Amino acid sequence: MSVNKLSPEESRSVLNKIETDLLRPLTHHKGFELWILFLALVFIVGGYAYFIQLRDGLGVTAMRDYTSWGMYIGNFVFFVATSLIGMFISSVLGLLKIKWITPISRIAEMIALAFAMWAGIVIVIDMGRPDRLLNVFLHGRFQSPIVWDVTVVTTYVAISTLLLLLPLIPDAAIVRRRLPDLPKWQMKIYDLLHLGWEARPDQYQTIRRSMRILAILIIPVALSIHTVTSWLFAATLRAGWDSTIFGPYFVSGAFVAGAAAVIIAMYFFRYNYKLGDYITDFHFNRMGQVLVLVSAVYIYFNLNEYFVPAYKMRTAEQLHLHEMFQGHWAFLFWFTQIGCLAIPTLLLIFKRMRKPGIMLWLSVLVLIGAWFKRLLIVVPVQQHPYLPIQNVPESFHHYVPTGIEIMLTFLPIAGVLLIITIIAKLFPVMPVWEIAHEKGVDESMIK
Amino acid sequence: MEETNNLSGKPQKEDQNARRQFLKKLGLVVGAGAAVTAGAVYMGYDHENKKNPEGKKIRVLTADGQLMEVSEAELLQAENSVETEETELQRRGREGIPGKHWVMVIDLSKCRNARMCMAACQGAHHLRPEQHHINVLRMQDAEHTEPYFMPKPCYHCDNPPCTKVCPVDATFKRQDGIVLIDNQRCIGCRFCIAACPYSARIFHWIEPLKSEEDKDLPYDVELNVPQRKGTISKCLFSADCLRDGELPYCVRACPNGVYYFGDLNEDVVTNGTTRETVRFSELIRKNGGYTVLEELGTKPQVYYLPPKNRLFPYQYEGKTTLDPDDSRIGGGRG
Amino acid sequence: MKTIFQLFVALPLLWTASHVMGQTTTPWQVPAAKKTVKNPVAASAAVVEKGKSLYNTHCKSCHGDPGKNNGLPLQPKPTDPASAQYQAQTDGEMFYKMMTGRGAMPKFADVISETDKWSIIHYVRTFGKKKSSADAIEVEADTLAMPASTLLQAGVPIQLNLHIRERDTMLIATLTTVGASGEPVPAAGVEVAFFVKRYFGDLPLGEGVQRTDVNGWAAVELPVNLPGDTAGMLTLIAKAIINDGIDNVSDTLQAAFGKPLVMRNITEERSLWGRARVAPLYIIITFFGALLIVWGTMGYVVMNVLKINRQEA
Repeated sequence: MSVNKLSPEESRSVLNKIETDLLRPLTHHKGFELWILFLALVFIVGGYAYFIQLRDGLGVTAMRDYTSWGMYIGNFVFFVATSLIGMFISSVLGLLKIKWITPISRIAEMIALAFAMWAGIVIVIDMGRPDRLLNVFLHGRFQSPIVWDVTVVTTYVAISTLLLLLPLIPDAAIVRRRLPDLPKWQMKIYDLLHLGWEARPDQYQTIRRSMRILAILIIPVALSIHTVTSWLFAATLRAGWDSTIFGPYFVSGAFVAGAAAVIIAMYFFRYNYKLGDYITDFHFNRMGQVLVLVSAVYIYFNLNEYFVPAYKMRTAEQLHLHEMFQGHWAFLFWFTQIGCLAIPTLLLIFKRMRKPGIMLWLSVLVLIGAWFKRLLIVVPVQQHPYLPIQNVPESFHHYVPTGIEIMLTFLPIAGVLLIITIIAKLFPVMPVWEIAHEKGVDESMIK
Repeated sequence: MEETNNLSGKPQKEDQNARRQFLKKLGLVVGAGAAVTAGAVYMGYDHENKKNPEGKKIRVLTADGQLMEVSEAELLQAENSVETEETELQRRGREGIPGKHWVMVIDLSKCRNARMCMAACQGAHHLRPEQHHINVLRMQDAEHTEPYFMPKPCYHCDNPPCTKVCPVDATFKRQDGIVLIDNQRCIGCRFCIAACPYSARIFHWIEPLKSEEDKDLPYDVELNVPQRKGTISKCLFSADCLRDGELPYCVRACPNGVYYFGDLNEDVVTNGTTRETVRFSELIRKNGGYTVLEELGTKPQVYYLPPKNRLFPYQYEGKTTLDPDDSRIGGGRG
Repeated sequence: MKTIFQLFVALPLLWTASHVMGQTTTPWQVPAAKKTVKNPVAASAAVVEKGKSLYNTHCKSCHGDPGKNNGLPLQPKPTDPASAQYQAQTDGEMFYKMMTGRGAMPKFADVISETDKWSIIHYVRTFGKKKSSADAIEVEADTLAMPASTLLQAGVPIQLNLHIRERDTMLIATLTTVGASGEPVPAAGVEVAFFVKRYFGDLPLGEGVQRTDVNGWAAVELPVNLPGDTAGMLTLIAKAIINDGIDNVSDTLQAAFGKPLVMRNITEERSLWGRARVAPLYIIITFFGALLIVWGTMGYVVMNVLKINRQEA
């Protein structure tokens, strides 16, 4: 490796600076309580909405017999999609030995874990009988994509947790040493987690090896969570979902959403946690390039997904496509496709645009577009089944989400933010040991 | 156990080994914790399941409308009998009638949208007016073709896309071909609704129509009554009637002789109105019978006879053409 | 329970029926020129027979069995063809109404040919006062050597025996009755209907109703390729219709003339749509294989990592 080793004295001072910078947020937290209070408020409101939904049934949503999957499933797809970025950054880029990901790898993994965990909860929110959740395990049918989905999402959460925890072992040792005055319960966590870390070469070897194994293992698992999620749609006979490219279409879209989420988080940690020395303009530049790359792939899949059926205009797809291109959904459709995908991608091609401030807003746009896109994939198709929708109330023909659905969309978003907040509160948001190592600090001192 | 061991055995070393021991056990503890949690949740679930079919009854309404006090012992017995009855209904409901392969033929030339099938069905299965196990649709195949009425039950496909996707075996196909729904198993994920290309399934978004009156009835999976909130319901080919040698509710209710129903293994179908029994193969062959969207590979078990030589010209709400609102269609048969 | 159900079913039915179908109960005016049209089809037993079959197919579902007043409870109620009110019409009026239809009564102009419509009129006329008119007598005298009705008036029993003539696979019903001196004599001219027993209703065999010949025989060809039970057994039924169906006699016969039913329980075969326990093997293997590999690797990693506090030996 091309790391120039520092002398012990240099090592000590560099390590000291890194530790000070990265551990500061653990003790200095302006507005932390207020933020938690806000999240708690969202939880209470969302919890109340869920109580109403449990009491009165899913009829409190705008879903009906024809549009029977709505915003909740859109949320689920969005959450699963966003969680894929953890795999992309720390595994794909990591295994390619791309160096600049070190300071953002933990951010990506936190996002991955938080979104994946809440994806599992979002799907429970959509269930008519959440009390029978265990039936999936007691009576699971291996032929059903839902069983596959439950399995792979659980597996992905597990691997993501491990991938988050492994690099935390040396960091826990560091926190334990540097901040002995933290509350007792918190110290207990570091105590448990540092696993007797002494910065021995064999320990480094075990950690690095284990991380590499997991990084390889997570690639097929991550690909399968979103591929299986896409199969929830593609495995049906509905015109509009009945598509062979749904797997890669979803996966490529997932990286777009995830990359945008990482950029937003990077921006937040850079300025709020004062980590400008670690998350630099260079990192934003690189992430901007990543976003351009994944968006370009996604645009290519979009072209395939919409242009090919539109060229043929099969009877069954005709109405659906018309509604998307120039009908009821046209505004949202073009807003997401042009405003939230094509334009940000085009802008980010220029280096001038790949600056933190601009990228933050473009990423917010991309992320919002990504969410609406999931809604556009889920809802409109169901409104044009093969056989006409007749003899039902007018409300069965349309779908306009209700307040309950909106509240129960904010609930998991708050949940995701809560998980990220807690992780970022308990642990440094970057792997201290890896950064120190990259700066040439003597490895045996990192404990 | 462990306590006894500790009392009788030697005390463990507690100094430098303690943490290692602890860490060693961590995995075990976490694993055991997960197992215990799962077990507890399952037991709770099981308990819930067991107490579910019957709540505590104090007063009982007799058949002639008298209120009666029932002793607790009797009550318990009654509860048990309901449970056994329910298990028996489940067992036979899931099994189906051996050697049968039910098939329906719908003669579109006779349908004039009387909707008695719909009413009979909703009455039997305790459905709300907007909930259709069977729905009479206004169809038009192409711009210049004549509109017609098409009753649409569940097609009880031989390659059912709905049972394929069910994660919990709540919807399943029996040996006699009927695709049933077990609303005591259903988790309400609605994947089957998404998967059915014929929009044959409905969901109880709110409390079902008669959930209060029906709550003490033993659940008959062949009738899907009592219906339950948060679960799927669908056309069952009136599996309960078939068992008694009766034709389905909709078939019997039709005043216009639209429906034929029978057993493919007997190669006959019986008209629900005229009770005329005819060879199925002949009826289909002579009248150009077809199935809907057969290119999807679902192998529907409901056949249609084309709407030719109609007794009644198409008319709906005074109009003889299809309402533009109805053209929210995916294109009729093709 | 069942009655309650039926009630549930019937009430909305009636309500719907009266709204969907019942539009008006004003008298049905028939143009004078149409009223006086005469039935151009000559009456004969064959014509009446055909009219009866047509009636059963097209009219019975609403009008019921003539004389039994068991038509559908629609609003207005379909008239019983045997009623005086109905029979008071001219043939021309009946014909006109069948042609045009009104309300719930369909328009049969293109559905039933003119000749067939006149045949139906001949059939329903057999229930009216005109039954004893010269026409009707003529019909009976025309074909019946010994009308079954006379036998029954005498109260003599009729016996029906079914057998199969293997040579040409004919199903033959032999009707015998008791002669004047107690000896068995063939019952000729009796209507016999043949059926195969089926689950919901019996499948009629042959075209329409057969009449026994002078030997007391009625025969029908056995059905081709009709599925029987697993052994190919069919239950064949012959029914002699006597006194308008009041004193029917029948006989059944089990015969292995059917196509044997191959029992196949599709739910026991491995399939994607089947239950969990019949999941295709490739799915089970892939599912658990992948699960084992992934979780096994994770377990291995965790075991390794948990050991890092150990000093090297």
